[in-house]
Amino acid sequence: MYNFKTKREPFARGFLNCESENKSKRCAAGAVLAAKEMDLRLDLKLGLCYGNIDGGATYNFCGLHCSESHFKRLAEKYPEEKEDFLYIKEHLAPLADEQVSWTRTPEQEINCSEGYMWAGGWEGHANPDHADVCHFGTDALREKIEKNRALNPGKDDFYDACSMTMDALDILGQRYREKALEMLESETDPENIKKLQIIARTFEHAPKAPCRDFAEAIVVFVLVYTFDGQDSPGWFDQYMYDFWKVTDEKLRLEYLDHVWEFFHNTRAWNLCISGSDENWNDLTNDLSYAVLKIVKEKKYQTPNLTMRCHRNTPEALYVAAYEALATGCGLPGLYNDEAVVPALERLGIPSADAHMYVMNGCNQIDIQGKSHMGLEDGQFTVAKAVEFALHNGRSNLTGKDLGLKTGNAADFETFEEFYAAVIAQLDYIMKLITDLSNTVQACHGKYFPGPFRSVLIDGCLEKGREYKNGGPLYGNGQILLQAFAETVDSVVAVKKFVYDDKRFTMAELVDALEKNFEGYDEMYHVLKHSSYRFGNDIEYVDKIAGDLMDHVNGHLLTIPTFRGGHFSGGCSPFVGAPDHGATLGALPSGHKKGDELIADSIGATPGYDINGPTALLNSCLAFDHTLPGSGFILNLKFDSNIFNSEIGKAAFITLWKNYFERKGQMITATVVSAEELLDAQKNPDAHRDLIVRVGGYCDYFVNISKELQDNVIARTCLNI
Amino acid sequence: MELTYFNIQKFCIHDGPGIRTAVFLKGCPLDCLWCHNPESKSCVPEIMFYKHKCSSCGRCLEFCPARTITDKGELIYDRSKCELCGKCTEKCYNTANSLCGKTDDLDFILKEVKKDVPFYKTSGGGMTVSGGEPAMQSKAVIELVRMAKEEGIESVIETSGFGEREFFMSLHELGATFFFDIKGIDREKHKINTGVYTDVIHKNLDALIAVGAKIVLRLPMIPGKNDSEEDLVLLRDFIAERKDGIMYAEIMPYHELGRDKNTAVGRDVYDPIPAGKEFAPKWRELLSESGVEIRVSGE
Repeated sequence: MYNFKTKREPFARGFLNCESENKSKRCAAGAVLAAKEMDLRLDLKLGLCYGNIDGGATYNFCGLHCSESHFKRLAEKYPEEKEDFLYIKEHLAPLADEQVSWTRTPEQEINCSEGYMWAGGWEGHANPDHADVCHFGTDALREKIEKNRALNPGKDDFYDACSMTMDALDILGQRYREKALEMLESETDPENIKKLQIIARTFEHAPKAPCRDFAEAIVVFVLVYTFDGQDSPGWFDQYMYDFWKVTDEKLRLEYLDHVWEFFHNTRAWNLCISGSDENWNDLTNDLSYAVLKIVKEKKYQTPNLTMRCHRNTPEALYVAAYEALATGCGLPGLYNDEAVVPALERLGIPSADAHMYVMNGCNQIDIQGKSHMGLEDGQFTVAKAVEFALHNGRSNLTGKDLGLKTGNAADFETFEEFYAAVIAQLDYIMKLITDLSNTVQACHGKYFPGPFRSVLIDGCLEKGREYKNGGPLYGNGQILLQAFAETVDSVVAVKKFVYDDKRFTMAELVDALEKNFEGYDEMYHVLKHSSYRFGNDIEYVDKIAGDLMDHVNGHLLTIPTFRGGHFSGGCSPFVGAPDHGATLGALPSGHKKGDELIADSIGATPGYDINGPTALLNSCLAFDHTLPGSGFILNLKFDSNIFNSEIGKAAFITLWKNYFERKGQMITATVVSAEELLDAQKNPDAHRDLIVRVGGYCDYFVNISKELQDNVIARTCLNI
Repeated sequence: MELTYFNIQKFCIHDGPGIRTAVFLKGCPLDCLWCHNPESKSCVPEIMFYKHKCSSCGRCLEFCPARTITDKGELIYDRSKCELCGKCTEKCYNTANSLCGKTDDLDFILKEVKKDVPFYKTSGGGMTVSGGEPAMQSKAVIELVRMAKEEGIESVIETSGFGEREFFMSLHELGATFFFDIKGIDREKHKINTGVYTDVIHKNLDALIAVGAKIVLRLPMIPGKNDSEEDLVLLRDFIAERKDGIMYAEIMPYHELGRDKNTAVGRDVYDPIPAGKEFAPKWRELLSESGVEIRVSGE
């Protein structure tokens, strides 16, 4: 056995020192050793901190993630322990490198390299029931493990591994207690003393035994949540409520403040409040309001806050949410149970559990503690299908043959023939992505065990199966769509200008697109300034939009995941959107080759929804919002002067309720900032939708002179 | 029947209760010094030419008889020679031109208005007919309001009050609410500021009050034009005398955002006027003595 000198990587030592065991148990052994030996920090602002040394993502305790370059950096930084790091790199990397042993088919390879699609890249966001440890304690969870071990003979390695992760938690709890007691000896700040005393008293009995109040629940939650890798906190006002309600009213607000700072500083992803049960009873409680209040006061943008709404949402909650939004922080995001629950039911999730959904990651739907929803299994630029249909399967960006050979576009005699080619290309892309996702995700399941999560997600212990390997109750998948409005606008432009008006021939259009409109100034101008755009409540356009979107979302539902569920579609405003824009060649929407600017989620091509929010909402309701089970976001922008007035408040709440009554799935509201107006002065094309309204006056921001624009910007600054 | 309009604007929240769709009609008999929608004055469509967007590339010379380029390379657009063919709106790559105003069948207009019915229902909104001056196309406006009423859509009429009595009475009978402008009380001053005397306007207002019409007064307040101490006292007393017939009055403080559009439609830009917003509290205080609720637009 290799004789380690380093104490910096106990996980790796634990993992590498028990070669004879299976991988699940080796990960658990790594976690136990790490719990025993790693440096602990107790930062009274940030909470309980431990783990990854030097900020590198070497591993987290739910599984193995090896980064070769990280070990290389460590070897350079700590030359005295260089040999150890090189050893770890050499021995961990091949195990972790099974990641790249995925056998992509040549078709998948060439399509991925184009950049417009990716699939199965990582294990995805997860939302385990962290609070199970607060509610039941590790002793009870160990009992659950043993009970299921007895029912599933021959899987001892798996159950051993699960049990060992509980031991690791206990060890950490014990060490933190010692650390807190040690710090108390020299601490003089009364606030800090109070915090340290809470930590010490909590770990006197927890995490083995259940927590007794909100203070203890938060300490244990932070421990578990951090040990799990700090993803999304989930349905906070529900799982914390039992603790919240038995805690002193003044003190619990202080504790909430602490945990909020912790979430903010650790960039927690998504936290959810309110919602309905299977009988549509409202689940709002006073913790829901307390969370909205803290969001309003702090104006932080992390964690991302999601609020669930439904037919029985109390009026006061609408107002509290509005008040938070009016600060301009963009939170909460508003989700509609009336659309999400039916969408989840389509995936075969029973009503009671569908009503327990939360938001994970950016804005992706998950069922806390019950699922692996494949967030994010894959993503693609939908408009690429139009490109393939117009160029007989060829990319208009790189000239490579990527799509199906659907024939020369110039030979399509009718719009229907062209449309059928687009659909064929879409189906082909969806097959490529879902096949690849299933292969890659099966690799994750097989090679990268996650024993800790398997304890906190229902189904795993019962089936004796790993979290990533089909263990959870629900094992669906998510494919995200990018550049949808560009797809619609392009298909509509072909219908309008080639087939209906016969303004250009298909051959001319294809030639212009191949030349990125060079030599086709007039055509470019006509296409770019066409008013036939999604987002303006135009029947001609929205019919096609609805058909296309429903086709994609409906088709995904028919494709099984390797986890035993089905794929479903979603549309989220990812930071990656510009990258997707760059993967597109010239399009009939007037998109030029490589232009990064593309639609925000399900919304319009930027700058083209020029008829205000009611028209945009009506257009978006052309989609069936009960098909996409992975988050279907519409971002509404408001002039701050309007949003922050009493009239604006009433109007916004009306828009929101109306959209949700008509089964829209989600709204986020952004108040237009002075920064955006300044950007509009520089890049008017991207901001054609900005309308300045004062009383009966209105004009497009980009149409008014620089002087008046400055005037509007000054007004905006004053009113925010 | 048809209407000539320059905009059907969705999500209007300052032109009557709730969320509304406003139909902005072309044509106005008044000529207010401070007009913020100057493109509404002419009864017929016109080209709005945004000079600051023009690059003087000269492409429009090929098809437009109204355009020339000066020795200095500056493009001049002579409105009197324009045939309103609209080609410039399509062929100008800088989008310096737009055609303002078009004529459509009432069915078409109503169809647009009906698209937002779900929002009217939940917000108590409806249709607003604005202008220009709706009375300029009286028959078609009455018919549009009647058709809307049949669809369960309530109407608000934004008017200068300068029109035939019959027009206002018919709309009242159809249940419309009037947002009635009072731009000043002094007869001569009103003539200077708006081009017309107050007589017809005040008589129409009183006739509507007499039949119990739903009336909101709108008070465009223009610093230096109609807000002297004397003006305000006259206005206060005018409102007070009619207080039982008025739902509330709304001050519309002057803002200069519409000034630019004068150039675009080929009108002279008036001399700068200070913004009215800061005076609004003072105006409101004095006018409140009338006993009528005074609101300030945008608050």
